[in-house]
Amino acid sequence: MSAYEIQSFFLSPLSSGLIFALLVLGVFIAYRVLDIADLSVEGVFPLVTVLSCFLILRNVNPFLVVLIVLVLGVVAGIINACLSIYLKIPPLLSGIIVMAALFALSIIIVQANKGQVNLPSDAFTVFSWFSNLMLSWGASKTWVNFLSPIIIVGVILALVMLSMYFFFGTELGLAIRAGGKNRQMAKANGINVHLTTIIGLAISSALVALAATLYAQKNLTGNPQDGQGMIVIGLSALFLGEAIIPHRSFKMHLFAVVGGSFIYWYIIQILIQFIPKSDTFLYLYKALLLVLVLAVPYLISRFKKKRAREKEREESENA
Amino acid sequence: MKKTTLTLLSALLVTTALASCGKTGTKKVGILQFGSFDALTKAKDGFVEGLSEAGFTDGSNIEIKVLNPEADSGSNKQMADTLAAGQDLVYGIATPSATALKNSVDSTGRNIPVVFSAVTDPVGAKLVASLEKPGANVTGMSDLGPIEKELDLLDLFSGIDKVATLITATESNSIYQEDIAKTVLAKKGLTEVAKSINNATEISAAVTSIPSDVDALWIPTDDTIAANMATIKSAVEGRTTPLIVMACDVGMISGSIIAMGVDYEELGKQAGEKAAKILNGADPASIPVETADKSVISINQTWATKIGLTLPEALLKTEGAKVI
Repeated sequence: MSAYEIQSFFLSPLSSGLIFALLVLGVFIAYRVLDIADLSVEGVFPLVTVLSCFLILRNVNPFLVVLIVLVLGVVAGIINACLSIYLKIPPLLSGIIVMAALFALSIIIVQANKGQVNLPSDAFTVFSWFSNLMLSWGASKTWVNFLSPIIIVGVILALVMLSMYFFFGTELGLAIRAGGKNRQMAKANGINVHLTTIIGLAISSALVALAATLYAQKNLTGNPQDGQGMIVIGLSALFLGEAIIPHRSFKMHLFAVVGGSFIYWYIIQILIQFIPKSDTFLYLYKALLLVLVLAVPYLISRFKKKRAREKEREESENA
Repeated sequence: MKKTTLTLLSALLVTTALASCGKTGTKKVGILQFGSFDALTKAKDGFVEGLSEAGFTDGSNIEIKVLNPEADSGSNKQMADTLAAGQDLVYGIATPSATALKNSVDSTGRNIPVVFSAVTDPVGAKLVASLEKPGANVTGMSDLGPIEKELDLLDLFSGIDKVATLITATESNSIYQEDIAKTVLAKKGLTEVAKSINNATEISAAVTSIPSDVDALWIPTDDTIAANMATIKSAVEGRTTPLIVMACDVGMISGSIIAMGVDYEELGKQAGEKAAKILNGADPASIPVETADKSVISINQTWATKIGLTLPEALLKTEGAKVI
């Protein structure tokens, strides 16, 4: 392997992992904290990638774009929650409805732009702003290209994790968690579970929107097809993290979720890099590797338990 | 047990890593094919053939690595990064793969050449500065067909005033071509009935919803529709009035009356020839982007007869037409 390949092998999944960690945190809030199977992710994601590129092409400041899509994510989350709470549409279906509506919006934007929402390589994005800043500090160009996305998304992710940690420790945050854990009990304790669901889904969608705009600004392209498979990526990463990283406390759970995103992308990278014929069998290998990664920790823990039990029995027989 | 699993895994990794280290001196060519659509697979096979005709054969003097994200944009980017870091020349099939490769190559700073095909609007996709002078490390083949020439064939029929168009709304290439068709139809004084689908399951309903007074249906080079020509066929057969189905990719002839335009295998082959030139030392910046040399035309008379459509003699005598 050449130096470039080694560099790319370690850094490319790292930057994907960082960006998708934000999405996985969004998925985590919906599926774990609120206990709602929310499919709107696959609508929010493509709409935001397309909208981000569309706005940047029209010279809107990239930081303003981030702000706009965050608001959009919050609105999408509120609509999604209201559909299920006030119109009694099952949450799974309301997620699908929101997904379909947002998907349609992304198509309308693409059609208004004659089918292309790609950015030129010198477009002004959050990343090019930071790269130029680093260059002006005298950093070398090769390193800037690789490191600037990692640093900037890393800082954003750290801020998000920190604020999530503190927010879910406040009274409101705890109420949201309680509402997801046991609805009836939370209601009985005077928690407005409707409100907590609305706030929770709004945060979840905003995180997905944040991931999507960073994804689009980094890859310089927005496409209505971008949403395809996002929920699968989010859930696989979530389960991988939970299976491998111990997560008794909320803090550790956050780390497990983010770790899952890295594990997921490193698995993909290993498959792409080393497995021959991966063009035909990639998805099969992916399935097998996911089974392996998920099953091994369980088998190990069972094996350990069994041995502990045998030991106990031996000791009691000896006694 | 943990230890044995780890040992096995690392052994596997080491052997595959060693196996993937090739002979020195051979050039490494990476192919990123966006999905397993028929047209894209043809563009890949054609490319390999074009390279080998120009003297570069996989396994002897070049080494080809093919990756296919199956239309998943996250993996697409990851694969583009991998190829950009390890290969000497990369070939992107379809717009998302071609743009991802260009961006990955830009960010590694290696400046290796990028060849593309099955991209309809390379300038709009920000791949090249212009078709004649690409200007940087990117060149390739556009799959834009002769849309106006094809729609001109409608003049051979009599009494045509309404033409339906059908595209997949998520495919940027299709939107771009429909825009061209719209202009051409307006110029000819024909009314356009625009239909679009989001995925393959909507094809049947979209075709059924075309009013019975519409005379023709035009379809661009669209991966989703191309993969489902049988659905188009049965939906058209269910109509009370016949429909002149026109497609822009000869691979779609099974479910159309006239297919004129791109032969993806030929397109890939010409992209392969360009790649060979670059491997021999040519500068991609000065190799113009082209459309396929031969615009091919197929006419499906068997099916026309079956749905009660009489084809004009002049159409059947079109130069170079392959009548089946």
